[in-house]
Amino acid sequence: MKINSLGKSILLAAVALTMVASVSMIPATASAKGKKSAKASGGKLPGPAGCGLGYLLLGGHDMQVIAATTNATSYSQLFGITTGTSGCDAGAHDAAMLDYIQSNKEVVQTELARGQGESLEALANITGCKDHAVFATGLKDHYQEIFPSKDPSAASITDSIKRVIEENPQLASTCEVLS
Amino acid sequence: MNFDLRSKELRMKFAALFFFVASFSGPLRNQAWGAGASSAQDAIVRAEALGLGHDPFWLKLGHYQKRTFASGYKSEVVNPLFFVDPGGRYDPEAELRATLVKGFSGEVLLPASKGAPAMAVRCQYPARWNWLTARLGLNQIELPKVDCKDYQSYLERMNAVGATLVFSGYYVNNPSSAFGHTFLRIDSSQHEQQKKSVAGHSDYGQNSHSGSELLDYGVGYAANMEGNNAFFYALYSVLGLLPGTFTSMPYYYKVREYSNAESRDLWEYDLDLKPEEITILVDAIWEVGSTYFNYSYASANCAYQLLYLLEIAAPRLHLIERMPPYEIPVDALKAVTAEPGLVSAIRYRPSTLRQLEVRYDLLTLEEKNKFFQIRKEPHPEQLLGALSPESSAKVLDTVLDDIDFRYFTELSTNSMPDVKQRKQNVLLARAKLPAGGQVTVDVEDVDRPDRGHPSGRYTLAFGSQSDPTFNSGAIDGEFRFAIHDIYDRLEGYLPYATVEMGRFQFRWLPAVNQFNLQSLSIFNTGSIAPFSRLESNYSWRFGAGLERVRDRRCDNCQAADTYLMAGLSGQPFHELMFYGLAGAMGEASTSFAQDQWIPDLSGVAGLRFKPFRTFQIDAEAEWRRVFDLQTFDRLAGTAKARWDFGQPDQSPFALQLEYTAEVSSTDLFLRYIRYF
Repeated sequence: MKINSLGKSILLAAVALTMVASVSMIPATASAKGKKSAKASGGKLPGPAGCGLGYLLLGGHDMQVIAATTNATSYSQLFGITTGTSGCDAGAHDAAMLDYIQSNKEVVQTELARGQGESLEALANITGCKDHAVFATGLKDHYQEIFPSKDPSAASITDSIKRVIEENPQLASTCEVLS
Repeated sequence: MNFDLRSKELRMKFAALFFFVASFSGPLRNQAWGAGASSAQDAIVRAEALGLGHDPFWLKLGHYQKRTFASGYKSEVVNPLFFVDPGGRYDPEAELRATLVKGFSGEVLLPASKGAPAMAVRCQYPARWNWLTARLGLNQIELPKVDCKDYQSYLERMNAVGATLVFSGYYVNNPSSAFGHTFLRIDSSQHEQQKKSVAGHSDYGQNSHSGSELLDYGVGYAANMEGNNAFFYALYSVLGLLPGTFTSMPYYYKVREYSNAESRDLWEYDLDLKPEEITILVDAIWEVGSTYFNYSYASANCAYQLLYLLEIAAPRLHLIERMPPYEIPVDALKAVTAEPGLVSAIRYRPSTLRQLEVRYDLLTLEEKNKFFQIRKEPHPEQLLGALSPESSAKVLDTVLDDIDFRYFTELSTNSMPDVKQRKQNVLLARAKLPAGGQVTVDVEDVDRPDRGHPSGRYTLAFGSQSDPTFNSGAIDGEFRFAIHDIYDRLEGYLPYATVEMGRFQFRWLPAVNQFNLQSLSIFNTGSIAPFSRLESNYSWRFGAGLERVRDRRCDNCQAADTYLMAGLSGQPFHELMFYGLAGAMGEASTSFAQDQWIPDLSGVAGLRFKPFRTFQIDAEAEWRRVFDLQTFDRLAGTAKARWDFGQPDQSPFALQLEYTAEVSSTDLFLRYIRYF
């Protein structure tokens, strides 16, 4: 088999291109998605003063702005998390719940249907519900109420969970009063 | 005037002498001075007398290093705003004086930027100020009040009582995770309480998570770059051209990112630090949190910066000196476990993939068949049939892990509505079945990354190299910086994966007194993870380097090459694997007779037999079609038998008998392999 020099150059260039592309593609796809979703949500960055956990400001200069706009693979961007509720007195549980559910929706949803799991326990901590087992099974029984469709908003999930707790005396008695 | 000067000089000399003597008189040394400094000038005199500007702790806090090619110091912090004195980066003493002056005056240090508040020195540098206070007795005097509300709110949120070093492992099909990543988790008091109540049963305590640490903060160090091209990110970070910054976010973000989205296991090493050490650690993070360093992929990376912070917090620790000069994240784990008494517990957090595997292994044959039957169906709940509720729950839990493993990012971004609906259907069915299904894997049942072989490797081989016109005994030596290939000791590394960087192989042929660079691998990565019904893995190999060519193109010349191959691998029994890969290569050399740039098509077929953990036989055949002016085929084959000795984390070594045959030449070597 003979191959002329033009054909050979093309083949060589193709080899080189494939290689460069393959390195840059794999992790870049995840990052590209992150960028997009951050923009879709208005690119609002978690503020330092929110009630939820969010990004935490370190030191006086706001390097987190640089970090958040450049570190494209950071998870919060991937999910377009928005927090920044300032003033943490009334509704502290609400804001923290909302923030947590927004960032952990997929896992909370799964564990809620299973009635067991670490992320559910963390949610119980935020909600101020002391008995994690009662909390987990109490919510499991109302899965369809809390997740009536495939993608309810974090706010509606938060409201539904609060309602389920309030309507369930046994569960409500183990939880701090919800505002 | 003259007299004044003299008296001031005398006074300073006297003070210096006094403090010099006093600084050696034991108990006084670390305590406040009786009277306390009354003014910044006074404090400066005392500080200079005590030599605080060159105190190891002060140098550490400013990230000062002795300069390599000049006298004096230079801070690793690049951002000029980090320094109170304009020349502070090169002058720790000037920095100390400026810190005292502005600390005393209480004036605001930084210009407010992007909504961040301007801060007084005492708010921005709590670790520096607390130390100066203790050494100079500054708490005796009244300083202008400063409002440190941002720092206070940071402390409240961190609520720190403990620290954990977290390692995110490798995921084989993501080259950017090739070396893993480390970050710190600051454990808060409310969560520590629950963690402590978990009783231990192994050396390092039970592997259990209560959900509480998800709400702690993780602190990480990483390179930052505008844009998101991973290729340039890798290139720039290797060249040290990117700014590195610290960020802090809730640990659950990290868990979602690594465990769920990227399927990487997390390892948590709880550190036994004293309360006062935790205080300094949290303050030191605050001080560097708003600045940046030059990120270096090999040395000034996440592992180095985190260990450096730990050494600031606890000078009793000697972590960085335990690291090789090029720092790989996993070496940070080895450094902390090597420090006596530092690690109090180790926990393992299995990735979604690992959970899927564990769950799948627990299914009965009937349940497995059901799982495969329904895992891609839109309404799987209708197909469960006569399975018991418990069995149904097991099957659906496996289906859920399977969906999460494949589509976690898509589900989270809601970019695949049909998958999301399918998951919702499974969940609706799952919620009607008995509660349960959390997967826990005991840390003692998994090979811990810190117990893997050391990251460096050298080998020495004796043997012969022969072809029809030439026959010589040969000595072959090899050196590799990092980290692992599929032939190495497996413990603590991803099975089936290769991540090599900087491998040099030299050969000496005494008969002709030739000493050559036999091959060089700039990088060599790949995976031969077997394809199975559960996981549709593909195999691949990708790398670049130099190799020695002995065929019709040239006799024993050096050529640069780069290759990319993809294929499949299978593992019919635990002990036996085979794989096949096909792809393309580019080769270049000025010594090639006809054409200096040559593309190749290539294919490899390999076989591995590994009956024991410490013995294996590998064979690989390679075919290349070389598109030189006259196209020709080139065949080569290698066979290796390898015995491993010693514990993987305690200077293990191995012996390997290897036979290589190319078209007309054969090599036979006995190789001694040592990790360091």
